[in-house]
This record gives sequence, structure tokens and C-alpha cells, in this order.
Amino acid sequence: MTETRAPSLLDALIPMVTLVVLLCLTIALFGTDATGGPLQVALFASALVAGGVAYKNGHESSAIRDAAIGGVSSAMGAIYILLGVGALIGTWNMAGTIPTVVAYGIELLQPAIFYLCVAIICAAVGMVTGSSWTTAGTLGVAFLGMAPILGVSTTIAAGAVISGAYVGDKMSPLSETTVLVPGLVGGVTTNEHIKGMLATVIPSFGITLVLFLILGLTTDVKGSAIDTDVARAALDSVFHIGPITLLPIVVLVVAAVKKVPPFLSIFGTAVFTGVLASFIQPDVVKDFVDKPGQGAVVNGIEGVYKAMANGFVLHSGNQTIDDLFSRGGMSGMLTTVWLILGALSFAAIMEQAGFLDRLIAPLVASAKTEGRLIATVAATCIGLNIVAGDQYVADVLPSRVYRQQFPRHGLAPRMLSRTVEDTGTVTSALIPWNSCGAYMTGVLGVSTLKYAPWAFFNYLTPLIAVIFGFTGFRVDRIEPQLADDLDEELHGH
Amino acid sequence: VLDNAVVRWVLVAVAVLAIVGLIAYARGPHGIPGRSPDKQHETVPA
Repeated sequence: MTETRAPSLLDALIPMVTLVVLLCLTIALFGTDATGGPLQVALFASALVAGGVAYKNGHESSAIRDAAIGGVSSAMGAIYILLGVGALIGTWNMAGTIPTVVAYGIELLQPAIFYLCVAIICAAVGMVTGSSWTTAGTLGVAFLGMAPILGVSTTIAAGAVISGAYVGDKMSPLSETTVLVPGLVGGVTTNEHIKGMLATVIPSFGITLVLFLILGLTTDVKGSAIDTDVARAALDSVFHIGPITLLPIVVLVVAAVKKVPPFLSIFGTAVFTGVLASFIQPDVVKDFVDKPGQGAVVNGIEGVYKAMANGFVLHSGNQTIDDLFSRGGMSGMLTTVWLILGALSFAAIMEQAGFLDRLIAPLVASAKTEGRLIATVAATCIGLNIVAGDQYVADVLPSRVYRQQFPRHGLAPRMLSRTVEDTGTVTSALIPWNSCGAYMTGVLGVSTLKYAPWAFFNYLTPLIAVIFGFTGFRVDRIEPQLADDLDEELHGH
Repeated sequence: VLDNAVVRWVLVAVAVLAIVGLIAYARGPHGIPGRSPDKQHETVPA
């Protein structure tokens, strides 16, 4: 077995620069279409360069391969959920679940307050479910369906969905990251962590809501593709709209409350909804399968397969309605899965070869003041979301690396857990190749690069966290002697 | 925004700067051993 050498900073910089160069050139060449394949090529090429430098440092090719496979394996749970949500969107459209939410929504919501309401409702649902992914993959999809009918921007609506979903995810005690981060930092409970985050979430979400209200009030709704009444009539003529079509939502919520594993609850609900569609939307299923003379039972079974595999396609004769509800399918998620495979292969090799630690080491050493320490944590979290392409890496690594630095600077541990969540958790949705950004694009059908400027909450929160860090406003400190005690306690772990 | 020509040129400029920066670092005192102009100067006999 060959001896591995510790990487120099140059070793660590070569794959990083390769990634930056290839990503810049890819986006410059392909614009927002880059996520359809070119970004994946850039990520795999960067992984190849990272592997080459690791090999030069004595890492065996089998170890590099195993690291890449291990990195991809860590995302298998997310990939299953992604495929499950694809199937769910397909059957929910076929069964009229999403059309019913849209039909009710366009009657209740006015264009002027649409973005505002979307952000608030997604935040509330996100807090109840504790998951930004569930919120965006279910309610978010319905809101995106309402946007063109109300004549408002789908792209801004996607920004509102993501802003709200991440507020809920961040502030919910049911959220995995909200529980995980304080646990990793140590010396702070989940409740203290949530209370600590209010200091930055209240101003950033407040500004976000004001911006969405202003955007809503200044929106030109003349561009509406279809009149609300016409849309409602068209929906009624195609689907059976009624409370029974909302039964799948109840099933999903009950499964979540009963803590059924996410993939099982999502995929199980997708199958249940597909079967339900045969009973409550028989004409829609018949048109979708498009095999005249075939029996209703075979039509129903075939419809479930097709909607789950390749997505639902509506043939109502109304182009706008057809475009809105012809969606979903597991196959539609494969580009996103491809993106996640590329990002995590690169990240896993970077971690295995010690390149990530080598890049972070000078940052840790240079953080001399409170403000710089908080800004450094923010830069590390955002950088890891870009390089590692996964929210968990961006949350876990800084929580461990900086946990001794905060008490040394007289900063309370909850300041670290707050900063990690303010930067690592929320910026993950702004990176196209990050599993979160890729997921949001997959379910909402809007490119990350298009919705990112409108996901105000996701970039205002890190900005406010850094500003508060430099000004000392709402920065929680601990006594120096307590800092020493805590330092010893952390060393003891 | 990303379909804007100016943004595309900025991205190309960032890519070029990243390459130039990496080469400058590699040739600098902390870069590849023996390739630094400073270190070469040090080894020149008086």
C-alpha cells in the first residue's frame, strides 16, 4: 500500500480552480440551460482533476473510486425522495389534486398579494412539516400552477415558495438541520438554537415579505395568459374539482405525522393517488392513456404506471391548462439525479484527499475578530455549498471545525449554530448543482439560476448574519472564564 | 440575467483570472518547490 502525502494548498487549489473555471465557462456558454447536461460534464471533469491530484499524492485509484461511490451513496436517500416526488406530482395532477388546490387558490388569492401569501403559507407549512423539500414539492407545485392563471411571474413565485419553505425548515423543531446543527456544535439545545435564529430570521423574512408585497403591488397582471373565470371553468370541464381530490394530501400529512419514512410515505401516496384517479377522474385517465376500446380497469392500471414513470399529460384542448398540469414523472427527475451524482462525486474526492480541510485551515487561522470569525464561517458554509454540492456537508463540517473557535473569542455556541444555519442551510437552494438547488429545479420546473434572484430570504439571511457579526448587534457573548470552561468541555468530547 | 452578454463576459473574466491566479500562486514562494523565482535567486552562487 502506498503512503499518502498531505496535500499542499496548491494541490487543493487546482481542483477548486478547475471547478470555478469550468462552471463559469459552462454558464457563460449555456446560460440557464446549463443544468440540462453541461454543468454535469463540468462537475465530472472537475472530479477527474481532483482524482488526478489525489492520485499524485499517493491515494490509490481504488480508494478514490470508493470515495466517489461513498459520496453518491450518502445522497441515495435524497435521490429516492426526488424520484418519489416526481411520481407524486404525476399522479396528483392526474387525480385532480393539484388542479383542485389551484382552482381554490385562484379564487382566494389576489395577484397583488400572491407572492406575499405564497411566502407566508409556505413558511407556515414548512414549520409544520419541518421540510422545505416536502413544502416545495407539494404546495409549491400548486402555487406555481396558479401563477400563470393569475398573470403573475412563475419565476418570482418560485422565489417566494423557496423563501417561505426555508423559513419553515429553518425554524421548525421537526427539521433535520435544526436538530443536527446544535447537536454538532455542542453546548446549545434545539430550543435555544431556534430562539437564537429569530434575531436574523425576523429582519430577513420581514424584508423579504415587504419586497414580495411591493413586487405584487407593482405587478402588471395584464400579461395573464388566461382569465381566472375562464381558467376555473376550464378546470371544471376537465377535472372533477372537489374535496375528495384533496384526500391524498390528508394521507401524506397523516404519514408525516406518523413518522413513516419519507420515501415510503411519498411513493405510497403516489400509488394511492393513482388508484384514486381511476375512480374520481375516469375520463381524464381514459384520455391520458388514449387507447379507445380498452377496459376501465386496464386503463386505470396503465394510467398509474405512465403518470408515475413519465408524468401526466393532459389533453383538454386548452393549451394553457394543458401546459400547467402536464407534469411530473420519475424520468423528469433524472437530470437532477445526474447533477447530484456529479456534485457529490467531486465533493467526496475533495474530502477523501484532504483538500477541503486544507482549504479551510487558512480561513480558521485568519479569523481574528468576532466579525471576521462569523464572516469566515459564512464564507466556509457558502463555499461548501458550492464545492461540496450538499447542504449537510455545508452544515456539518463548519459546525465541527469552528466549534472551538467561538468560545475562544467569547462568543456563545448558539452564535455558531445560528451562523451555520443562516448561511449553510439557506444558500443551498441558490446553487444549481447543490442537491437542494437541483431538487427545487426538478420539482418546480424553474431553473435555479432564474429563481435565485427572487429567493430574497435565502441571500438576505446570510447578509444580515455577517452585518450583525461585524456590528456586534444581537451577538450573544459568554464570560471569558466560561469561554475557557466551554473550551475544555468541547475538548473533552 | 445570465443570458446577458455582459454577465457572460464577467464569467469568462472570472475564469481567466482564476487560471492566472493559480499559475501566479504556483510560481510564487508557496507554490511548486524549485519553481519559485525567489527560491531560484536564493540558490544562485554569490
